Amino acid sequence: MERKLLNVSHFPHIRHQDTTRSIMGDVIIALVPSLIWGAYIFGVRVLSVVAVSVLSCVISEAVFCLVLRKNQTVGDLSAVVTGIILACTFPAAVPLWIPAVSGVFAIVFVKQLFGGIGKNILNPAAAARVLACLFPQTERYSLPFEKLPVLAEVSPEGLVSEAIYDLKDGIIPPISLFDMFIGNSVGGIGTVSCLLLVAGGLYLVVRKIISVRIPLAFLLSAAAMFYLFPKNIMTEEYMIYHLLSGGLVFCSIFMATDFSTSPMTGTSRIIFGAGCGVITVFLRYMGFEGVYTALIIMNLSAGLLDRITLPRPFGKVLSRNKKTKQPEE
Amino acid sequence: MSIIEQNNRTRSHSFEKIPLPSVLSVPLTLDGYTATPVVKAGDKVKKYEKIAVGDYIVHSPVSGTVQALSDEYAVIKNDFRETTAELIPETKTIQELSSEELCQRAYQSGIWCKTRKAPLDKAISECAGKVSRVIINLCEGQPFVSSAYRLCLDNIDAVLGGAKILMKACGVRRAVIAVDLKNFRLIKLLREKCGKSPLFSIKVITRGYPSENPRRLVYIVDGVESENGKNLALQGYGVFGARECYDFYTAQVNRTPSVNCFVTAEGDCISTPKNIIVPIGTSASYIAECCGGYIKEPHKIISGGAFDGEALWDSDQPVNKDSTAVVFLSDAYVKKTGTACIKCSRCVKYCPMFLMPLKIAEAHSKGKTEKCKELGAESCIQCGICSYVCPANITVTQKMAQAKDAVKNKENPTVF
Ligand code: SF4
Ligand code: SF4
Repeated sequence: MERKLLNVSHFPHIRHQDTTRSIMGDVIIALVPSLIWGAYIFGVRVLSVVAVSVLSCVISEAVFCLVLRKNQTVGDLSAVVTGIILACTFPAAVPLWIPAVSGVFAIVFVKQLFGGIGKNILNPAAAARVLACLFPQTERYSLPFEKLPVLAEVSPEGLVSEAIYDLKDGIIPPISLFDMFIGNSVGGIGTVSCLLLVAGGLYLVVRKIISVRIPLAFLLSAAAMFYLFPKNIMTEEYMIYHLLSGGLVFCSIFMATDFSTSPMTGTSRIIFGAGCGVITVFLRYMGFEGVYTALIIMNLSAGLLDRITLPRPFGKVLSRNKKTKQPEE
Repeated sequence: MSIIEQNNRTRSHSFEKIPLPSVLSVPLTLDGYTATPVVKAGDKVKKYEKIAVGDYIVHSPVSGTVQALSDEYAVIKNDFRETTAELIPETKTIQELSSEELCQRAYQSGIWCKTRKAPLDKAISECAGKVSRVIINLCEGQPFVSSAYRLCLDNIDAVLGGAKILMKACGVRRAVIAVDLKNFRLIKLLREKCGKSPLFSIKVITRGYPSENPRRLVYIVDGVESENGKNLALQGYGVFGARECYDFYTAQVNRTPSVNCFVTAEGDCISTPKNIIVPIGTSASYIAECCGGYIKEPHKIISGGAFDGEALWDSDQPVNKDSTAVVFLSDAYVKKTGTACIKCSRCVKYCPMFLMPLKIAEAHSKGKTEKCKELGAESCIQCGICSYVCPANITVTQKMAQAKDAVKNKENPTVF
């Protein structure tokens, strides 16, 4: 009888069940509550913004892979995540061509031209969002529960600026802190509700997908900066308004923790997060909406941070070995 | 806590003896050590009779006839008579024996030291007089395997007795017993047996796999980082496992050489997973038969744990002296999709040796051996965690092995 040969391979013979796709799926799950909240307060138009952004990302990834005859990577869902994250940062009243153009830019220029998943240097969504800021139509926010057309362009009347624009002049905006926290305020469609964002972030932490270091360092350093250099006499309140406005929470939880553009060692993550926070405050005081730009600046330093905080391999440096202990008698 | 999911169905099963197989192919090599046959094909052998002598000694686990001999295997047909060879009598008590005599006893009994991956006499002679600390390693963190745990639980006196003999042989008066936190029954038992004994102190290990790795264990117990490529014994540590203790005890007290394996038979392909005592040379397929036969087509059969075991290419391959488990896995355990590295940094986070596996793998694939060395490729203990956690399904551990070899070969080029 012919013997049946078995499969052999290098160990380990079992794998953890998480895959790239399941991780991306978890990120999507974590974002869904904020988006539902966005759709609730800003209307159905939110869904068309998300759809346009996701479709533009997915289609550009698929076309790019087809044209360059690369393996099709749409299945790993990373383009979908980029699309959703990008959409979250836009206000509901944004003209729909802006997410479409930004999506193509994010995938083709920021992600795929650098080598695709895991090789990009800048966060695709953040870079595309910064690009979108160049169009004046982007920064038009609608008030909660205002009726917006689902697809057609929104007329600029009745649109307001985000809370952040009051803050940078040192004025406390006319919205209560509680409303800011639960998301009954002005902002990007997925970034208004800090409560749901934090819940989503906790889900990701529990699922061991992101580590808490980057978001915590980001938020704490920003808080410290606002506290130390306030523009308003009501320091604490001013600080909290700043933290809750303008996508800071969103960016720290969902964008700064992006795998390929953030550093990998524990220490470098803290430095990275802290750097993001400090630069954000700096840029906000200069008059820009700073989170996304700050993130891109720190993205550039991720590789360097990793190199300088390289963990010392076990047993490599002999001089630091402790002396062998004598057994206690 | 550890990211590894435990899947141990056999932890509550005591060891059982299985019916002896009718044909055994006893391996004569192990981890680079060889033994040369001292019997010829056609010879009748008794149980416990020496059939090969060399770096270590192989005894016949059953009585019967030698059917065939090769460099690697001695095929023995069992006659089921269990006629036993005469055992070497011992006149002295343990206290009177010197370290050399104990070494000799270990050699004559064919005991294998799984922790050192060498014959036990070699491990002892390395340690004797040089080590200041002996660690009895009862940790076992891999999924599926529970043989060391059950061996200790069922034979605690023998294991502790063996540990005392080993301490005597190494010339050390106190030993640390390292035991996993999850084995609380064993911890309780150990506390009862030797909680007040001045000979042992118990150290509960909370870190999970790969605590059983000797270098890692020394680090966890004492916070000492052992040097790469240098024998642990020269750094003052002797680490021994439960099997060595048990075998040494039976060799000393019952005079029987080590011919049996204590293995966990597990996996989703067999219907009743068990802890079984099998003679060396039993084939994996026979073990499967004894455990209720296959319920699924096995995709891989692994000798050893699912993390650092070796995949057998043929189900007739036998268990050897160092086997701890035989795991039958179906293709449900194969991760089928993979992507490029997404830099999720899980391999960095979970690597017990504080390496950056993805960076080393990348440097190696670009041929930068110098960089691999700089990043510490030599420190890798091949625990398998980096491949396990990788969501992109990259065989990081394998690449680490290649990188490690490349660094080694660069320093001492092997001439073929
Ligand atoms: S096998 Fe991987 S996780 Fe284990 S020590 Fe080596 S590099 Fe680290
Ligand atoms: S675990 Fe895999 S995907 Fe994650 S960083 Fe390591 S090699 Fe890359």
